[in-house]
Amino acid sequence: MDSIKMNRRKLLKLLGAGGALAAAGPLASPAFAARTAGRVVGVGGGFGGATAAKYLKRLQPGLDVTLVEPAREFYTCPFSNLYLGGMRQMEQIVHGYDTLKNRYGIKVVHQYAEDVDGEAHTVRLANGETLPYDKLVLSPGIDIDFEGLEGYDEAAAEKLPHAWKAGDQTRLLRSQLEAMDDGGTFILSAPDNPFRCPPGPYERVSQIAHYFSQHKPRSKILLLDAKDAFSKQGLFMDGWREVYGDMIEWVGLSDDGRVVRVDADSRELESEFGEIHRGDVVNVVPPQKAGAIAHRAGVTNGSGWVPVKPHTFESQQVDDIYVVGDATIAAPMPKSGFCANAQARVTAAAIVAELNGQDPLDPVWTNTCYSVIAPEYGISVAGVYRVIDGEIREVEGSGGVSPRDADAAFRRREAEYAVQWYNAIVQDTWETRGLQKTLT
Amino acid sequence: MSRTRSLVTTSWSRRDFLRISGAGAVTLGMMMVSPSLLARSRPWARHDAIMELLDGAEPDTSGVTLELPSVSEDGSNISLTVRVDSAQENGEYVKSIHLFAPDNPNPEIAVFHLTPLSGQAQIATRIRLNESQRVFAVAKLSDGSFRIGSQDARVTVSGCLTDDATYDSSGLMQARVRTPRSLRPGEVGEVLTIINHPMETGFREDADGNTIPRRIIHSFVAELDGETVLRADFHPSLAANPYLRFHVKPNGSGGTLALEWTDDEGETTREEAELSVS
Amino acid sequence: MTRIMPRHVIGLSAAALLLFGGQAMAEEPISYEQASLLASTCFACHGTDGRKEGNFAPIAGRPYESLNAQLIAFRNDQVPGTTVMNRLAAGYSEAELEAIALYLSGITDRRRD
Repeated sequence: MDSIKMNRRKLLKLLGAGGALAAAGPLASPAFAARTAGRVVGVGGGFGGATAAKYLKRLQPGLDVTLVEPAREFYTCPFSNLYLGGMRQMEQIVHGYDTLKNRYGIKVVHQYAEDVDGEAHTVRLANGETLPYDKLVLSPGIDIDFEGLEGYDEAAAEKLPHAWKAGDQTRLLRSQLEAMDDGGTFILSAPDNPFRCPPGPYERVSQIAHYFSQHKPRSKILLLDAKDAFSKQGLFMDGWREVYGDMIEWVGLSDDGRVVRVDADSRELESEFGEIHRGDVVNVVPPQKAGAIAHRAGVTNGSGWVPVKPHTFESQQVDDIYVVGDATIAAPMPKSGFCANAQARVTAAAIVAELNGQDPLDPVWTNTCYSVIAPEYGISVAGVYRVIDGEIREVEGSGGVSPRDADAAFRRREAEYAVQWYNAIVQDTWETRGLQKTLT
Repeated sequence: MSRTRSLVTTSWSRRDFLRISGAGAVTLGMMMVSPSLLARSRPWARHDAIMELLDGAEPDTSGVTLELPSVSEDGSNISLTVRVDSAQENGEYVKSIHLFAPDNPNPEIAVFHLTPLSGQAQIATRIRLNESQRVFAVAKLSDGSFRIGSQDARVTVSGCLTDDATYDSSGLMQARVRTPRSLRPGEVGEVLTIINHPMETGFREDADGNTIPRRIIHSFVAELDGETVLRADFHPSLAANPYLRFHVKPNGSGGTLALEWTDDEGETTREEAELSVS
Repeated sequence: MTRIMPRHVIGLSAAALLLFGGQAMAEEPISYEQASLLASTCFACHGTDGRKEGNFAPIAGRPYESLNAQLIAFRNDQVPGTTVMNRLAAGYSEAELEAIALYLSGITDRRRD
């Protein structure tokens, strides 16, 4: 464990000798560390689950923390678009669990969590094993809602990839793009809210435009959208025009952009008003819902997502189950890896406080989503969120998107910062390294 | 006592109650219910626009289903479906459905006038919500009675969305229509339409701070061979690019379905589609 | 944002780092745990405990005075060329930024990733 030593003299000087002070030891306060009671199980080894496990151990090293994640390595959705655009390799967006195991003493179990018994406080794994818990953290991310779009089932996804969970699906989409002839048409169908990574579809077409402009410059991109407005819309559209001319065409909801039926064999998408669009490569970003284990645990509601208590992200429906990340209803916080990481830190602190019989702290969460339109063209949206009048709200006067009128140096800096952010958040989450310092 | 309680929980309507217990018991029941409980059980009572429509009548609180997303990240465009459990035939049918967003600057959203040709009292559209609130739907039936339903809708300001409407409504008054290819006799068909229009509320300002004058599509009519299927009055709380999903139940062998929209400047658009029944 | 001192901090002197916002007289003291939670919002971009170095300015273990001055300047949008820190710092009170500066300045283990 890292230890952090406060500079006692400086603090004393600053606060005055009268302060009830203070050289705090390691981040884990000694009173917490001394106690050991508490078994916490985490399900899901992504940004939310891995961060929660790590921060639980940081705050209270004596806790018994088990992280359940079927995959031995985790591919991040952030920067998977950059793989599609040719700016990153797959090996640069994959992260393992060794440091969490070895340095933090987290037990990592590579099994699929099949069921949760909220009464008995147990998690059942696919191998039949049962894990008891005092507190459970679910961070299952999203599942594709294969009932939400006619014609789009698991078999169809092998022909028209969603690539909305990074890994094999991302590779499949990249290989289809590579096989496409110059002059072909790429179509992306974007869903209605809520869905994982609100700027994701728009960064993706930017990245694919980058790839096309280098290798297949006569190709076209059609973005069919079930919304009339999207994240960082003005910035994206400015960037597309500036960098890619008229390669990208966006069709919004009111111009009949919503896709209601898919024919995987003919690669045809049918719009709400009956128009048929045929693509050479088709990427369907389908409707989504909370990951399966959330449904099994009984924490989802009719919307398919998980309502949570704002201060702690404990389920509103089942005690002692905390849910973080994309599976939750946390709007106005977006479903982003950044927010999952932020929520996990707050929830870890809330769980430790609760196990020690204390009130939860005042939560504050931040979000910063970078989107890379081109190697030297980045844009961002940021937000600071708190619980205000019992609900999660964005702090007035904070947050917002990059300025519309920023110069090239600003855009270049934001592209560099996107890389820095990625390298930092994977360190904060898995204690792994980003492998690349720049995009070019 | 149990009957009195049922008034509060609104599981029975006043009309049902009258039928079961007679008017005297209702009076007694009302007296035993505290005013705050009563206000909670009749949440529409503090909204003038709804009370005006009801004109003293007590609505049935069952039979109207309103579907809205519980949380919306874009208040300018929220899907809404309203359904009234009622026959839609000569003799007994839903005459009109009124949608209200009481906490909007303009509480009326739209009024839909239905006929037996509508086949089914179900409408889907898209609305604007200025803030989180409870949305109401009031149905008026052919016998003069009312039903009411409501649904809470939360609107969050999302930093992920740019403030100004970046959507460019090109091709003003341009409509799209989707009708069933063919219907079997007696089958209820679904009609889908959208028309490009900014639905300017009259509350917005342009970049120079001048108020953009109100300009909305205020009326819509759907006729089958000259007979009204659906007539609608739109208000500024209907979302830009008015979208409608409604139903039609043609008599006999079908006919020509004509849709017509009219906006504040008197511009109209008319679309026609053949409905065949076989 | 105000916070009532949690009971457990009293008598827990090693953990009770009490910070008083200079300007904001009305604010309650910020506990050590609250300060660490506030500071942890920096970690997604600056690494755990702010130790990550790269294109961003290093923040772990830098003097309190300069960290605090920089954060307040971001909050007041007075740093030319800022991309995102002005948007983020605007979401905190001055007392909270002081607490964050104090927490980060106290990270004396300068081991870098």
